[in-house]
Amino acid sequence: MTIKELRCALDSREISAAELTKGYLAGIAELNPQIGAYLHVNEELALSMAEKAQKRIDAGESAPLTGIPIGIKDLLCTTDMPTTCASKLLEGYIPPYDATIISNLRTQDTVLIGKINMDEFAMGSSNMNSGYFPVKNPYDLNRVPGGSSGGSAAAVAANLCAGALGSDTGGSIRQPASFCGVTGLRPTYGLVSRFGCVAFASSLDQVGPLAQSAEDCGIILDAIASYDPKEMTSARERSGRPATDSLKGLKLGLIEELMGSDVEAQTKSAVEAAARWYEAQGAIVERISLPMLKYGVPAYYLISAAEASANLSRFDGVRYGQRSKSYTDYQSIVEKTRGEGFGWEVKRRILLGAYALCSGYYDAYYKKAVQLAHVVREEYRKALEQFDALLSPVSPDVAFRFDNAPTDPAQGYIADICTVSAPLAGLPALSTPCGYNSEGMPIGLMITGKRFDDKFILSLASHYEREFKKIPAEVRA
Amino acid sequence: MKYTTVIGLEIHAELKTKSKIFCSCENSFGDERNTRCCPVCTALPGSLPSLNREAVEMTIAAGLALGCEIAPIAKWDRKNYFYPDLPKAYQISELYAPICIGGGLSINGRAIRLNHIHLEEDAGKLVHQGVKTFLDYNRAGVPLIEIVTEPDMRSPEEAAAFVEKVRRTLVYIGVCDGRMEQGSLRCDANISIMPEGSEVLGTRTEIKNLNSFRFIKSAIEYEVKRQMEVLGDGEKVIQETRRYDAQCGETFSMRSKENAHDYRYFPDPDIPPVLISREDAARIGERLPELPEARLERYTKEFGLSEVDAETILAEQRISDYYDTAIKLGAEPRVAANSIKGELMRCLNTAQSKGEIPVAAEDFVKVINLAAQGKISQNGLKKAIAVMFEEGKDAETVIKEQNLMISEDLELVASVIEEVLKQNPAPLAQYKSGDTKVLGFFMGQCSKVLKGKAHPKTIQDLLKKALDNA
Amino acid sequence: MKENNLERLAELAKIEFLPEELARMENDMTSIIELMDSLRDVELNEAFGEDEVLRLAMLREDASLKSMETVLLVSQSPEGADFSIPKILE
Repeated sequence: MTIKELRCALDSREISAAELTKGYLAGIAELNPQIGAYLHVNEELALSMAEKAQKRIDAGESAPLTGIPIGIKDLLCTTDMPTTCASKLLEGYIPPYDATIISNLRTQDTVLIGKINMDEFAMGSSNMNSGYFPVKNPYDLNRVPGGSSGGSAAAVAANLCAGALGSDTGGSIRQPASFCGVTGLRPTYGLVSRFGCVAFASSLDQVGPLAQSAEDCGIILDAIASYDPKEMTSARERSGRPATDSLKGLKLGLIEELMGSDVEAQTKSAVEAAARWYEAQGAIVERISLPMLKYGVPAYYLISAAEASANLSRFDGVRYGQRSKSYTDYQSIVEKTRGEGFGWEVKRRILLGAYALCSGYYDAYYKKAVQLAHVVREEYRKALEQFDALLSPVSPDVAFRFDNAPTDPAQGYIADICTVSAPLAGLPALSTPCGYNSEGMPIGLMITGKRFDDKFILSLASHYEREFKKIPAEVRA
Repeated sequence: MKYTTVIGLEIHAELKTKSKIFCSCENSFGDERNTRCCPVCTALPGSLPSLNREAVEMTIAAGLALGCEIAPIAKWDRKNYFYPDLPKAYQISELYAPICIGGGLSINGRAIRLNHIHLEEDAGKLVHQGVKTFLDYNRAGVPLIEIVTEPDMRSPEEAAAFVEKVRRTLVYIGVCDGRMEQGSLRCDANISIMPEGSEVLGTRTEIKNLNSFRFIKSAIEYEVKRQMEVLGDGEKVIQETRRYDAQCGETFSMRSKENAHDYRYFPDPDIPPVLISREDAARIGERLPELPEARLERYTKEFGLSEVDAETILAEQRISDYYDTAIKLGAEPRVAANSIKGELMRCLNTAQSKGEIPVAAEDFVKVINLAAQGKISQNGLKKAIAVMFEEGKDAETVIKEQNLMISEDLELVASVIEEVLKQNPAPLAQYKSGDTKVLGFFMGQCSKVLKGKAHPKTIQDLLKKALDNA
Repeated sequence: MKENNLERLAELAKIEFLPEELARMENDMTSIIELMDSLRDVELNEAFGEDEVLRLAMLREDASLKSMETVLLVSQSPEGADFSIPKILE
């Protein structure tokens, strides 16, 4: 059932909040051992939240997410559950404050059903980089769910929550959403507060919703998006285009460079089919070329690594986290804690970031990357003057098998080509299911819009999904 | 070989904002460890900075007072390094676009230029106890301005005088409390020497954390001597950071902090650039109080005070403001200056009071005017000020209670004079024969009897008349 | 990427690597940096304006609020009741 449907069911007393939560908890108990979506579930806590929600429903004062079980990616600070960012370094860490988004959800008496697994510190595109255990794709347990919000996408796909929060820095909501056949939105940068979201790349991070429908994503977005004075990059002016009733006459641009030979044939044809569907509804679909896109990957990786290298410096074992047991002095506390606590991918990114910022390298790497981001932003801006939204694949291929994961790190990074540019431009972008390949693996369509056109692009997806026949994942216990 | 000393300074001043630079924790001194902290200033995961407007405005004020240009756009950057007192392992500072550029002050007629002033955050404190070092983050996040000079100073005295002048200016405009012993103002000195007449700067060393004028002078003195000895031995001065040990008066290398830091500065993505409009700068400039230099001009040129007296009065803004108020209320400048630098400052120093001067300016002016008119004696004036200060009463009340008015009963004076003249025929004859020195004797005799009941001038006038008529 | 460069980076990043990890990381970094080097091809001469700027009036008003209880603040400290490290020589 969608969140919208669950809202009706709860408010009409068809089902109680406790029953609903218990249902999801049972599903988690049954399937999480195989899927690995959740890192932390506290049944008592979840049921106490459901109880509070019920009181509110009984009083006729329910908000859109009252009593709805939502999974929380484990990089959001929660005072009543650990926040580990799927890192050994933060095992057992319980923050003394709630993220702003979490406060927003608590205001609606949402049931925060559990903390969800992810790539460590949001670095990765497979959820194989979790410091605890990998997440598996509900469509095929031998394949990755994508990342870094792999756990969030898998939880939604396997019906282990009504919706989930993920985070997207270079594609970390959209790519797993497409791999797991669910809908995921990366909001406009600045729309959703970052206060209390453990930072990976400050200028690119955004927390966003994953759910079974674009409409549900919109409901979650409304609950979490707010201006936050505690965050200087929080958007004050946030008005954009509202949802559209009709697709007639809308101009949609299909990004040429992302429909090339490095994209798998079945993915391309699914995306083309979606484009033709929009045309059939009266939209005008044209190809558009964004030549600077090809520099998106190195620009993204350099900027995000540079920012991450500084953001992760605070993890030194001094004030919180799992301090190494074999230290002798301050230096060794820091070096050993980080050496023992960080996973391999995290270390790679930190070193890359340090490299890009080093004296003598700064201009050629970091500064160049920032200039490129400006160019990409300009290119998108011009394109979105001509078009109402842009279409493309989310990933060059479907979810890969665990035993077929890229061994060369650069190879893995290149696969992010479709998703990294929207964050560099600060734009909202979503993934909505548009097909399945011959092995039954989901394919996603990406829709990118102008800044603050989040509701608009969600409505474009809504129209599409009303007619698209989704095939749910069948996870066998 | 004669050498020229070349000194550049980096002065750090803590701003007197109510809250810290990036969070709303209280900005004050002392308190038990970690009682003025929050997720932001202790760098808990997920925390983000929120820049304090007043910190930026105070920096602009400091810049305007020190003759700087104010940047139209200010930006903040991350300076990356690991140290236990730096919770984020980066300090948010300004490298690429500081708020204030250029500027300077003159010391004894010599222009000392500033390179820039930037706004950054202070680090926490390390507290060593036994085998542990405790980390206190109360100070972490206190806003700090760093005033960076060009290497224009040429002697330890000049450097100390410069810091003194900067300190006074910052205290005057209300952006810093200038309490060097509490660490609210401290400086690093960059020192090098070059052969006299040369234009090629020598290798410089940096001496960190000098927090008194005395230490600034003696540390630089020592370091110059040391560098001269090094060069005299045929060795080279090593570019390094040193610390000054006040106990033994020497500087020591801090080689452990070396390892050529690569700070990897980059723009802080959490802090958008801040636009400072001309209107903003003008508004802040208008709010500035009159600066010490301008007051000095006025006091010496308009009021005719000596430079020494003028400097004494304007040493503290509250005293200078008080003085100006007194003049506006009609006090004579030099008379007012005397009482202020005399009795009033004595009271302030004894009482160690730091706040508003507890004697209303009107009352102060009243009593000094009365003294000038001869209606109360000089001693009476001193007493009046002291009692008003201590007991908070107004002038009229105090004069009445302390019976300070010279009740000039002219008949009484005349009769006392008559009596004294009668009793002293020989001195009278002396006076009449031309020995005017005897006047002093008669004055003494009359004053003894009158016991302060008449103003000396009154006695003198009447006495003279009586003597002439005798 | 030269190995001494890697060691320098590890030192700047304060991450301890075991000897057997260094070779593997060096391979990875070489491959990654090669990808990043594709930026070298691009000639960029444009000057860019500022994206989002804040006006002074938009900055946080200077007012102090209650700080976090010390007990809560240090609750996750590895030392338990306080923030401390073995004595450091300054």
